[in-house]
Amino acid sequence: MKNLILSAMVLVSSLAFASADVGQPAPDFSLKGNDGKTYTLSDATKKKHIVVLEWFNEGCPYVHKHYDSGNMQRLQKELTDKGDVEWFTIASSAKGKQGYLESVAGAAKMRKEKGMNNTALLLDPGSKVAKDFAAKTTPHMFVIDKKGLVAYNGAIDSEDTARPMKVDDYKKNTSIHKYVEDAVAAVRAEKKPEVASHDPYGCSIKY
Amino acid sequence: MRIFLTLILLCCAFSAHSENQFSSWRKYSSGELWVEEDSVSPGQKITVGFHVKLEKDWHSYWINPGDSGAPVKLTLTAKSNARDIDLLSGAIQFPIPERMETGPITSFVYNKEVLYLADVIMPDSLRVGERLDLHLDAEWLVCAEVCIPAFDSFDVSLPVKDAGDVKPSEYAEQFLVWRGRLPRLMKEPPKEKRDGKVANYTFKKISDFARFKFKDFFPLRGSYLANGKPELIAQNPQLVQLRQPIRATGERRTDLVGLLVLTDGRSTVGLQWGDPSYGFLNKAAEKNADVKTSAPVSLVWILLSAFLGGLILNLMPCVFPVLSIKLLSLVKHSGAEFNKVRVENFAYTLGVVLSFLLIGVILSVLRGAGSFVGWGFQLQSGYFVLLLSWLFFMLALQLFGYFEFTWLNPNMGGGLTKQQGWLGSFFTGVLAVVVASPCTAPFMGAALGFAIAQSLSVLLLVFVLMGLGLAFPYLVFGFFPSWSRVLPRPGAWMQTFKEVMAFPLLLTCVWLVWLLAQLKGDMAVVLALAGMIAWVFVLWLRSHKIISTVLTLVVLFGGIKILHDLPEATQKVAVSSSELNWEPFQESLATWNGSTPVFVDFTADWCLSCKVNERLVFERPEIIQFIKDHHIQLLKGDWTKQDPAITQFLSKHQRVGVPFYIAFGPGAPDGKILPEVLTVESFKSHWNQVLQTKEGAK
Repeated sequence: MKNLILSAMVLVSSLAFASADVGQPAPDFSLKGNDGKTYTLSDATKKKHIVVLEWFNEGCPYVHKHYDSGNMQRLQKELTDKGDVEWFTIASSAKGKQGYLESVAGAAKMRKEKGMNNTALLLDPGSKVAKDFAAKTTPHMFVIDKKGLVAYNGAIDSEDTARPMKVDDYKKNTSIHKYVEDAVAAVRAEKKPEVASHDPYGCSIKY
Repeated sequence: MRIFLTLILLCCAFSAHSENQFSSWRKYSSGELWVEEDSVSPGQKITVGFHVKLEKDWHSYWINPGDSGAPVKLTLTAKSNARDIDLLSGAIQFPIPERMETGPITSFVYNKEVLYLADVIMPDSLRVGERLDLHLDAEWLVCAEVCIPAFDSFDVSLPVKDAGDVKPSEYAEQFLVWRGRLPRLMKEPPKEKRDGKVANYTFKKISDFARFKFKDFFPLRGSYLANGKPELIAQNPQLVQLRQPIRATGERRTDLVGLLVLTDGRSTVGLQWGDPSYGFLNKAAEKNADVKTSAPVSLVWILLSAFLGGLILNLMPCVFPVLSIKLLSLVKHSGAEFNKVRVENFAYTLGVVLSFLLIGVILSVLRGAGSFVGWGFQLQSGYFVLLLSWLFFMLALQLFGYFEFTWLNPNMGGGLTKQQGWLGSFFTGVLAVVVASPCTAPFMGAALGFAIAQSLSVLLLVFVLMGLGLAFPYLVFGFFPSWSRVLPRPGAWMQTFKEVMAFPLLLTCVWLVWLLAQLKGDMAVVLALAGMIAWVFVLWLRSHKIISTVLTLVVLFGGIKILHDLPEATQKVAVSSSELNWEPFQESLATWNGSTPVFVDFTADWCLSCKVNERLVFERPEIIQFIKDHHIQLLKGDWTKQDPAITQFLSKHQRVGVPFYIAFGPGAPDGKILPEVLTVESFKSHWNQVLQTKEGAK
């Protein structure tokens, strides 16, 4: 009987951890990047770095909106410039699906083509890490604090449209809530983000 | 094989590429702007529809798209004779969607086609004989395996005619069909119980659909429910019970629940609770929304409010009887050594602050678990009220000198040890907080409402400051014991004072017993009074230790058991003795509709501050006249017992307790909150602002 209860508890807790809830430790990952190196969350946490995760699918119009305008590249540069933030862009599309990246070389080419200013573009061909984080869309964003706890989970901003927008207009528009920028600023100041989660928008991740 | 794979990859690469061309959606979907009428008429309503056609395997989205995707975004503008026309449009109505599951991703979609509908009211300024040009900008996302956003705009020009000449258009039949696929609104909110990461719901079916069986449930956009399939717990002709997981991300609006879909095998109906009010986009409205976002309230101001609120609470009628006990003890020691005065006052403060902390913790835990509770919630419990009435009765007996409570005795000292004096003061503090709960002081409402939405640490800080405020007058004596010299010297007058103080306590008992009757009916009154007699009997027998102990337990647990078996008192319709016409609160009525000002009074039988305002303000002849003169519609929300609809409305306005007054009028279309303590003058002056039109008083 005791064993039964114990195993039930283990089951329940393992189910509970199959996502990245705000305030909980983020699931660790170990993924190959565009430079052939393997990146893990625990390495970044050991260095006391803040980590930003961005789910990516080249073919998704919502991803296009942010890359075509240069907004995503701008944000990647602004946040990683100080050296306390590592930004990983993750491609989790399954083989044969839209946005699938087959090889390190393919990832390197994609990163160059898009002019990404992130730490690395990571390959998650089995969608395992996407499932661990319960990532739903591209772009679905996570901000993980220095201790490895999830500080923000959700949309990049409140502008849930695929309509293109110039990056300058975007920066100036104060009615758009920039959840990820705000979350990183809060985590840097050792505070909790005012909005710690917001429904992510975009295309579904192609599992 | 390899060549084949490469071909597939090439194909995908190509299709992915072609998707970037923003016009490729035209292969998979098309849109049209329909109007149900063939013409428009000044001041009349028309129904506008956005019709989307979809190729096989392609879909578009419901108001809650699910885990990915996006609902349709529409901007409707109009011109007549090159003038811009202001339209008054209702929310976009979404027909019942279908569930689509792809791996772990859930979507709520329409296949083949869908008609999104919205009612639009024409302005009076239209001139018969001219034309109205409607222009619709639409963005809708079409997805199969991959997604493409569609952007298009549509124009329709309609003649302006007299109301009698308006005929149905060629699309009218289609509107009828699609209107039949819109969800109906539920008549009452589902009962909700949150249990960790799942929410349990009990929905009442509308009686027409008794034979319809559960088919599916879709959470609304902005609710805190996850999109995955619900678990059906039970269903019968009256009810459907579901269990739905709670999502990790989202806005978590508790007034939005979802769409329950029922079927009898042939037809399908949807019953919806919650209105996300998703309407046409409007450039001007967006700008306004930007301005309207409220300025962040500073924490310092909130903490100050909490402290002031606690301090003023001392003067509220609820706390008075208990404070009399405290006052007596203070007077008793005004001649005693300072150290003792200091210890007792610190102990009292500690009792007050710890009790506030405990209430704060309980409140946040209960709300976290999904209970709709607020300030004063303990008085919504019959058990609590019954025990409190007995406690007050015993305290009164004790003040009369009928017996001595060891731990609450104002006459402590003498033969008793110092430690007991400390404990007595501590419990007086606890008691002060317990009985303070039916009262809300000015400043407290805002502080509590702010606190409840914050992190636990901020919430507890607010509660601690409220406690410090309540204890402050005595804390001063703790720091400056010599000041207690200003109090009158103890003497024979104290005995008389003590006995006099017993009377307010007995009056409080009358109120508590009346409150119990509201909660649990007439039999509960008999129980409470019989219990009091039993307590006298226990005291009378107290020399027989064993018998009186057994009897104490029998009365306590017997009383609770009997109360438990009593049925809930039936909810009474809000009737008022005054000549004003109060109607029960309905959220849909609590708004500025352009013609009738509305006043909403949230009250509870246990809320003394509410009763005081009702007697001293609402029932005064000049106020009755004022309300009649301005044709103000009156609504009353009774929160004596838990009522989720009221709690939700309160939390929308960042309040967690009653009294709460809000007025809607031309000067305050979104509502103006009136202070918790009202006077005839302040009521009128607030209303004068609410009644003022923007152009100035008419």
